[in-house]
Amino acid sequence: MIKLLKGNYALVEGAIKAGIDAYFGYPITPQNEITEYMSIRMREEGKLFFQTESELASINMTFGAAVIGKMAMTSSSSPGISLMQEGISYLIGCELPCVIVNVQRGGPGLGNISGSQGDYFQAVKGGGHGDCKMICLLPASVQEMYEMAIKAFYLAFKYRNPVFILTDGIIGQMLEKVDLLSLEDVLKNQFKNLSVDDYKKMFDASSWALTGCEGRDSRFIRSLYMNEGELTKKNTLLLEKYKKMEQELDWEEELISDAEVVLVAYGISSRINKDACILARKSGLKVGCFRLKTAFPFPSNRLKEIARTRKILVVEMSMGQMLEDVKLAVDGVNTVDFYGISGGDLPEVNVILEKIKNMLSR
Amino acid sequence: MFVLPKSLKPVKNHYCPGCGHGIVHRLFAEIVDELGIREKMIAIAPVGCAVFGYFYWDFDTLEAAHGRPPAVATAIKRLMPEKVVVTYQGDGDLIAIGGNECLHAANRGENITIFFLNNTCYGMTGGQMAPTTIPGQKTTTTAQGRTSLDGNPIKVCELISSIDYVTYVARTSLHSPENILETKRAMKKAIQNQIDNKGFSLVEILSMCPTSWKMEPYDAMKYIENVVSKEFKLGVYKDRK
Amino acid sequence: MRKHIVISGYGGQGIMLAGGILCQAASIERKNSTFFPSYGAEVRGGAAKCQVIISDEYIGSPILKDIDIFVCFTSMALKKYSSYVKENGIVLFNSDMVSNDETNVLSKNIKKIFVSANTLADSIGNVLFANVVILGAFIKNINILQKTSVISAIKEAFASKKKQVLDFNLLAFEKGYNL
Repeated sequence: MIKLLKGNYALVEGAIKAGIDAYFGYPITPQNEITEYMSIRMREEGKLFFQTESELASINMTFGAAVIGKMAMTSSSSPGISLMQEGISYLIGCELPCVIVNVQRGGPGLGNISGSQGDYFQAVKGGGHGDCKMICLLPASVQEMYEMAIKAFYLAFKYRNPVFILTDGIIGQMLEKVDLLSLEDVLKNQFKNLSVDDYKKMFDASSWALTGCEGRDSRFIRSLYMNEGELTKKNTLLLEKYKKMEQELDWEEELISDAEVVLVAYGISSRINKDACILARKSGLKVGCFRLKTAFPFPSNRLKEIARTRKILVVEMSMGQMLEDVKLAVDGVNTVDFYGISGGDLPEVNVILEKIKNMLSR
Repeated sequence: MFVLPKSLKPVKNHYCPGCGHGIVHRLFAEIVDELGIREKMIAIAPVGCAVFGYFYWDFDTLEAAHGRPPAVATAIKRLMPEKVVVTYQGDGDLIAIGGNECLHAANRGENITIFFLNNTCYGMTGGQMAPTTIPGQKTTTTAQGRTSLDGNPIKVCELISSIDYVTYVARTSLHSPENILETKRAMKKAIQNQIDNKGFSLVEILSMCPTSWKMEPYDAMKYIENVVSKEFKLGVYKDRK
Repeated sequence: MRKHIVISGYGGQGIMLAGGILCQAASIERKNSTFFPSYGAEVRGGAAKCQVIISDEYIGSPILKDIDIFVCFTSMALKKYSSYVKENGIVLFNSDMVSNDETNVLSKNIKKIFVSANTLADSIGNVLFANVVILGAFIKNINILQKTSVISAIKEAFASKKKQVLDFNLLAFEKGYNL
């Protein structure tokens, strides 16, 4: 069914299509549409919608729902996600699945309410104290807001770990065409080979969730390991899990083969790159686009391969966060140029074209 | 005759001599057995001395972030109303860092049960000042005794019982056998209320911390009788029909 | 074809609704379209703006820099965005809110269309219909969307409201269209 929806609404529809049991949220712009629309849709579906007293309560209620094996989600925008960091770390430490959405706004501090990409470090390197990792999905359209919500729940339960959807105020608030595909069709788009049955089976939590100990031994779920060597062992197991998550790596590339300059970005910036790329090609410049669809796992190998024979321009709505990961990936085999803009403003196509010309004349 | 409750694992107590946690752990387990709800129990241990509750209780137990058990409990109970959800919290957990979660769970009249151990200090981290520390009490962060600049003891029962949707609030103590039995009655009622869908119940239990108080266990009990229970008056604060 | 449209005025004038209807109408015609809202700090009476892009081709950023068609509801909006209107662009004014003199800031190559939207809206019962009155004039004067698809979009926008509300809005649209 093709509809015109805001990204935030499409995300809600995706979560509902996935079979979400509970949503917890506290208002903050620019993600209010998620909380408001959830309040309508979850009640229609007979599921739990909960407006919490704070983002601390949001993430910890999500924890409560996860601990009993329910499909739970919370969403917020940058300052609210900062408040959730402790809870995210507990979810990871306790190996609990959930979906967390950050509709990024300008920062630091209260910043502003425009879209931004300033929380890359927090999402990809952070996720709370300790050795934490989360699969981080990067939607770049209203369509992907819908589909990645569906994908996120599956990955959360597959790895029993929170999955982070890192989007921004522009993707969240823009209205655009979306095809609210059937579950089957979304699985075709987002997974190599996954049936609806296998998708649904993943949410069976009976082997680990706390549901009362009827017919089995009692269980406990914790993240505290005080005995000697115990935590090291736990973290080694988590590390093995993080390694397995790397198979969920996903990206998209266009016009790379003959390109001399490749534009690298995620989310809204990648769309501006594409605008620039179309114009550049029209004027005969050999430019390609590389769009990350996951930030963890990060496409290091592919980026290095591309960089061997092509110059890289990272475009990002921050002062240079993903840039660091690109540089690590490229590992000095070529130069990495950067165009960053922070504080809620967007990269401009003209500036990108100017940068490309400079790079080509060097 | 001494019998171990079915809901209590046969493990050695790790708490300090004279600590109240061991008593309340056992009371909790006895009540769960008596009400026949072991297989419906989901208990939430706090960050504090009782964090290891799951090493003692033989029912499903989890460990929540500091102060957040009422939020975690809210989600669990709303999603699985047929389970019995109990949080077990200390001073810091319930009313310092977790004051907001407790207040809002109470204000929503969540059908959950909270056991709140008040020992007037932060035992696990070495006996620092708590919101419940008695005026003049010496702690590792109030070496000269708590002054008015450090705030006055927060009276949780008085505060929570003023909220309309709250069902049952009582303050009991562990300083004598009679008081321990009274504590058990209150705890049992607080869980029964949940089973009967009556709403939010909280029992504040005055408990000894001989280590932080730098007292012998017996003197710690006397201290509750003569000092702590004078500051925090025992009794039923609310019993909404 | 690619058109950049900005609609701006005070919050409460139905700016977002008008933009949403244009975006939806384009979608009905199977064109690509995006809509992006922005607000001032106030919900009512503050600045409100929305950006609509309609295109036959890929739309990257929904945020635009230059304006082909500017629908201007207030003098404040005129001051803020007049310099972004392209040469040979078009500006539709709510002439009950913006005086003729004020529009002199625009360069001569920009076409101006004046619609006394408040007066017309008032004549059918409520000044709040001014946004849809202007849409009517927009569709009549600017040849990028079909009248029928805009009417369908209006019907969708008011689907959950009372039938009477829809009828008034359709009437408002016709008022603007038949100027």
